[in-house]
Formats: sequence, C-alpha cells, structure tokens
Amino acid sequence: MADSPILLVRNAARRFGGTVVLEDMNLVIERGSIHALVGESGAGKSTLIKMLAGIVAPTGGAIEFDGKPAKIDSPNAARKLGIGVVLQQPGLFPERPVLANLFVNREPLHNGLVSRREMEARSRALLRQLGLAINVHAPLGDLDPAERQFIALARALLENPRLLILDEPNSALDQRQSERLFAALRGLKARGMSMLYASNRLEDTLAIADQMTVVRNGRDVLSKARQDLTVSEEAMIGQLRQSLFPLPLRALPTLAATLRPQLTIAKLGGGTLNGISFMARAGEIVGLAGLAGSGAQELLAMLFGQRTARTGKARFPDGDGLPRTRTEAARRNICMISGERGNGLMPDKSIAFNLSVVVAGARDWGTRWYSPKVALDRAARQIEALRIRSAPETPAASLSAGGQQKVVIAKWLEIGPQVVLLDEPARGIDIGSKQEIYALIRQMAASGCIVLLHSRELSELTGLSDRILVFHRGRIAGEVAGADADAAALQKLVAAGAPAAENRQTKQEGVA
Amino acid sequence: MENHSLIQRLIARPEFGPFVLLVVEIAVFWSINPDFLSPQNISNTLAFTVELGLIALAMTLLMTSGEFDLSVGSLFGFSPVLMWTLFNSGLTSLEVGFFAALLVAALIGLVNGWFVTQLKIPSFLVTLGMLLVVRGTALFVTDGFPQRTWSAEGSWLAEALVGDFFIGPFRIYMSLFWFIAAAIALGYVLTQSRTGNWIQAAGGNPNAARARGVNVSRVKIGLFILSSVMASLAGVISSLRTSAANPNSGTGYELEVIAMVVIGGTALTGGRGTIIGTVLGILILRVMRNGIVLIGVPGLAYNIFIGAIILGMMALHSWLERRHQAGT
Repeated sequence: MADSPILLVRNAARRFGGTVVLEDMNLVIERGSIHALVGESGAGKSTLIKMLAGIVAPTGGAIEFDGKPAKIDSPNAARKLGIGVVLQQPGLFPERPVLANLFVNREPLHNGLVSRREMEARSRALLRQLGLAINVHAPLGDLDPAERQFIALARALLENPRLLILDEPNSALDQRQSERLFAALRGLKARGMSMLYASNRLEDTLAIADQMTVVRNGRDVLSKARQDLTVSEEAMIGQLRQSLFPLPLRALPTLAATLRPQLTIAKLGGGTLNGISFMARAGEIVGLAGLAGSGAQELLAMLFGQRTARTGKARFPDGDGLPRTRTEAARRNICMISGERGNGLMPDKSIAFNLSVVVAGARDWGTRWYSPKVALDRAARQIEALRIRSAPETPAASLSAGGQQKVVIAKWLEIGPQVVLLDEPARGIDIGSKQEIYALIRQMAASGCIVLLHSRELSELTGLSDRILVFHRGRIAGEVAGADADAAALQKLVAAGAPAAENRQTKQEGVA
Repeated sequence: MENHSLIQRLIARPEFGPFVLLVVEIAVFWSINPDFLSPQNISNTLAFTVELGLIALAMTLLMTSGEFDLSVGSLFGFSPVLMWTLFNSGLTSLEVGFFAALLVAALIGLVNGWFVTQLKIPSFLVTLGMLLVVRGTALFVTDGFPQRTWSAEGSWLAEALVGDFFIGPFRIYMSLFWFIAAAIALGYVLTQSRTGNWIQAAGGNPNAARARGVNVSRVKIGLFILSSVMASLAGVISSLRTSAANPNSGTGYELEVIAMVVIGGTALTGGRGTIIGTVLGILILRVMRNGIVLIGVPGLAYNIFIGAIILGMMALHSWLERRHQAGT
C-alpha cells in the first residue's frame, strides 16, 4: 500500500440548509508532497478542510486515508488518523500562556501534575526551527498575529501528524514571515510529511506546491502537478476571479470634481496610525490595502466613531469632523459594513426588524414610533431590490452567509449613506452573493457615495477600487491607481519594509 | 534589572490589587481599633470565614469554566436540615445522614450541570430555579422550624469537622485545616493539572477546547457537582459549629460568594481564575464585615461597603485591562 495516496477524497458534498457549498469535490494527495488547494474564498476550500478535520460532516462522498476508508466524525478521529490541521482561525486561548496553548489537553504529566519543564523541552527545538524567539510563559494574547499563526502551526506539529492541513496559513504574515513559513514547510516535506495547503494567493501556491487542485463553486475544476502547469493554465487560474467584478459604472455626478462632496483626512494619528492624510471624493471607491495590524481597519473604526483619534483632523461631506460615537456616525449618514460574522446582524430577529434598526436609531421616519407596517413595507422593497430570497418575517439567521450580509448592507442603504466604510464586506460568502455585493458597492459609488473599501483579498481591491492606498505599520506606504494595479506589484507594496528583526527584539524586551 | 522586573511581575499579577486592598483594610481597622487584631477577634472571624470560603473555592473553578451557581446558598441551608432530619427521625446515624446529605447535594449538582450542558440553558436560570427548589424543599420538610441539633457532641464527625483547640491564645476549628487543604488542592488542580487546563480552556474558548478533544460538558458537570458538594459541606460544618440547623440559613450567600470570587480577580465570563485571588477576596469581605462593626459602624451598613468594594475592584480590573490592551 506504500504507493497509494495518503488521502483520497471522492465526490465529497456538503449542504448547509439549501446552500450547496461543496458538490462533487475530488482530491488526491500523494505521500510526501505539498498539495495546494487554490480557489477564491467562498469556493469551498474551508469547508473541505473542516470536513477533513472532523468539524463538518460530509453529506455525501467518501474519504480514504492511507489506503483505507476513513470516517472522520470528530476532531479526535482526525487526530487519531494522523491528520493535523491549522485552521484559518485556529482555536487558541489568548489569555493562557503560550505553553498551555501548545499542549491543551496533551499536557505531559509528572507525578500527576503538568510538567512545565517537559513542555518546554519538547517545544524548544520546534519553536527555534520555526524561528520563534518568544517567551513561552507569556500569555498568547501578547504575541502579534504572525507569531500566533506560527504557534498554531507548532501546536499541530507537536502531534507528529502524517498529513498536515493548512488553511490560508499566511494570511496574517508579511513577505519575510511567509518565506520563513515556506522554509519550514519544505523542511517538513523533506522529512516525508504530506501537506495540503489551501490558499487564494496563486503566487504563494506556485512557489511551494508540488501539485495543485483548483476549486470553484464547490467542485475541483483542475488538478495537476506543478511542473505540468502550462502558462495558459496559470493565467487561467489567475483569471478565474476577473469575471467576478462588474464593469465600473461611470455615471458620476455632473458636478466638477472640485465641487463634489469630499472626505478629507489630515495627519490623522492614534493607536497604530500615524500621520494619515488623504482625500476621497463622492463617486469614488478608494481601496485600503494592508495586512492585519497595518492600520487600515483601525482607520475605518476611527471614521465610524469606534475609536478615538489622538491627533489630526477629518472633514466629512457634512462639514463636521470625526464622529465621536457610532450613533452619531449613523445619524450623519456614515455607515460601516463589516464582513466579521455576527457583526451588525441580530440573527434571531426578522429580516424586517434588522432592516429597520438603523433607521429607527438614526432618525425618525415620519412618526415617532416604530411602526411594524412601515418596517415591513420598507423591508419588502429592499428584499426585492437586493434579491434576498426570503420573506421579511423570517429570522435573519435562516439566510445563508451571503444573504445575511446583504441584509446588513440593505439596512444601511435605508438611511441613504453619504460615506460608506467597508471592512471585508464579502468575506466568507458564496460566489453568487459576492458578485451581487460587488455590484452593490459599485452602485453606491455611482449614486454619489464616498466608498472606502478595506480588504485583505487584493483581487477584491484591484477589481473594485478606483485607486488603492496601501497601509503599512500605521502609515500610508503608497498609492496605486486601480486601473493599472496588478496583484503582484500590490502584494510587494503591502509587504514592503518588512518588519526588521530589531523591531521584534524591542517588543520582546518590552514584554519581559 | 532582575529585581526591578520581579517587582513589576508581582504588580502585574491579577492578585496584586486584592492583596493591596486587604492590607489597606487591615491597617485601617487596626489603627482605628487595636482590638481588631486581638486573638479572640481573629479566631471569631476565621471560624465563619472558612465556611463561606469553602464554597468560594469551588465557585472559583466553576466560574473559570464560564458558569456559576446560585443554588449554593440554598444548599448551605438544606444539607444540614436533611442531615439532622434523618438523624432525629432515628433512620440513620449522624455519619450516614452526613454522607446522604453530600450525596443529595452531588445529585443536585449533576442536575444543574445536565440542564446547563445538555439543554443549553444559561446557568443563571438553571441555578436560580434550583435555588428556589432547594430552599422550598428545606422549608417544606421542616415546616420552617429549626431542627434539633444538640446531640452532636462527641461524634467523630463533629470532631473531624469542627473540633476546636487552642494554639496559644488562638481558638482554632478543624474546619480551618479543611479550608487550607481545599485551597491548596484546588489551587494545584487549577494551575498545575491537566484538569485545570481543561477548566481554563472550557471557559476561555469552548469551541476550541472541543476541537482539541476536551469534553467541555463533562468538565462543567463535574464542577457543578463540586460546587454543590462544597456548599453542602460548608452548611454542615456551620451547623455543627453553631449547633443550629435553620432551613433559612445561607440566604444570600450565593451572591456574597460570587462577589468574593470576582473581587479576587476571576473573570465572570470565564477563562481566567485564581485561587489565591479568591482566598484574598474571601478575607477582604469577611474582614470588612467584622471590621466595620468593631470600629462602630452599624452592622446594617455592611452592604454599602461590600457594594462599593465590588464596584471599585471591577472599575480597577477594567481599567487595567484597557490599559493592557492599549499597550499591545
């Protein structure tokens, strides 16, 4: 059986309610190889991985591990088979020390007590190999996101898995850290470990994979060895995403550019932000690129009144400065749409109620009281406009992730926003809804909104934005025009000025 | 440098705030009334302190796992009533009655845990319901009257739980040793054992804990049982010491115990707990109750101070937390 593949997935399928996430997915992972799983987010990669991790049960299909049919019905079953998984959001415990995180429920015992010494001894070599110089007794929450990602990897490796599965492991890493990760993975491969590496960054996967499988709409559309990939196929994979984005609607208001309402930010600082200055005009989509912690998200929070700025000024179209609270922001027609699950949605409440909460909070609608009838009418209108396929009375939780996100957007559209702040608005939702949401964003801009869009998916930024501001370590590192932005150049800019070693050093001392 | 960071680390510990508060409290009371530190007063304070303390220790673990138990006060009253009723009716010996009471308490804990983990009802509602059920049972069984309790003298059980002796001028009850043993044992469990890691993982991030194969439900059920049994034990100790078994005793203890745990630095939301902090929290509240009477404040004003301490400590914790987050 030695030359049978380590993992074989045949016709795997998974439905969530009426939504098909995976259908007829096939995958073969050879022993000792790095197999890349490529596809847009929402294509079904994460679902497949959760299936292999024993977190999500398949609704159809078969899985073979090591030549034998396998039933992975719990995380423990996956572990017993020898499958180690690092999820996109690894389940870590920020309040607990690093060591406790590494060994949760696998603590070595000495006389019935947890042996710190042995935990240290067992993890020391591994952490050094991963290039982590950290205090293992400090709480995990003190580490930066990249280090936490490596800790999650280390935790999986401590179990000596035979198949290591990584879901977007470098989404929180900059260029140098990514290379360190790749070096570590190559080292593991040299020792015979098989790996499944899911990513939506083609460049990364091309750099590391032996074989790759392209996933689209829950199916495998192409599976090949890296060296057999032709240039045109490479281009095709790169192009997959292009069809997602609608052509820009260039129907700007006829006013001269200088007369259009604008948002001016001057030398804004606070938190990690430092000296942010830019201007955005109505009808424009301004992309904000940057890694986690680069400050792009923080800027949005500041503009929405969730965080306070220490220095600098902002001037909104209505002539005022930064809102002090979210309520004030909503009343001034500033809206914030975030892709963070559970953000801004009351899942147990009806769609109609969800659509009217902002309106009820932000302004009266003719009468002082909340009127179910008016709410229903408005909801019916929005539901039709946004093609949310559900009745207004149904609870929001019954919708798919994409449908829920559309409700979140619709509720803000009700107040006729002037400034639209988008924070990964299409994260983790299916392709169809994505397309519709992208079209909506374009529409908002065309109708005269000022749109700021932050996303970690560069394709989303290049596909939608008129221009892109790149954030790095709390500053604007550069600006790229949307039209001529190519992903590779942008990627370089995002990771530019990689954190120097001395920076990490000082952080260490600060902690100790 | 080394020395400096040691002090810093000490200050950074969550137990540091309660520790300072306790020291200040004792200093203030002592300076106003030197009798505050007299052997007799210390002995008196300790005797009841450890009884509530036993409940607080178990509650610390339960709260670290993200749940809490409001039925402990009722059990504190119910268990001795049950024990004495069994004994007085001639059905069992005192010892068997004692173990029967603990067993019933364990069952009640099991039911609490089962409702919380299997029916997924918040522990606030489950244990609030249980509080009423247990208190109601105690009142019903006794018709609301205290039970006869005078025949415990000489029983080995009474000796083991509340036997007293003098160390110098201090009158010490055996229950103090039970409390110290429980504090050390549970302290070790929470910080040094695998079970402790389960508890903290279950409270900190239950889904992640499940994904790592931790049986979160079993951990929580176990802790509900522990908390019920400890409350029952505390009730019996208190009853034997004071020779009283009143079905109404223990009313309001659940909130006082939760206050002790929270003041000590355990998070109400779970994931972070400290036994040392709880011990400090127990002492803070009990010293306060004793001290303000000694310095001449009417005893009925006690709750004002307790409330103020809770609000102050919570404000301090939240401030420290925010400052910590701003720093990273």
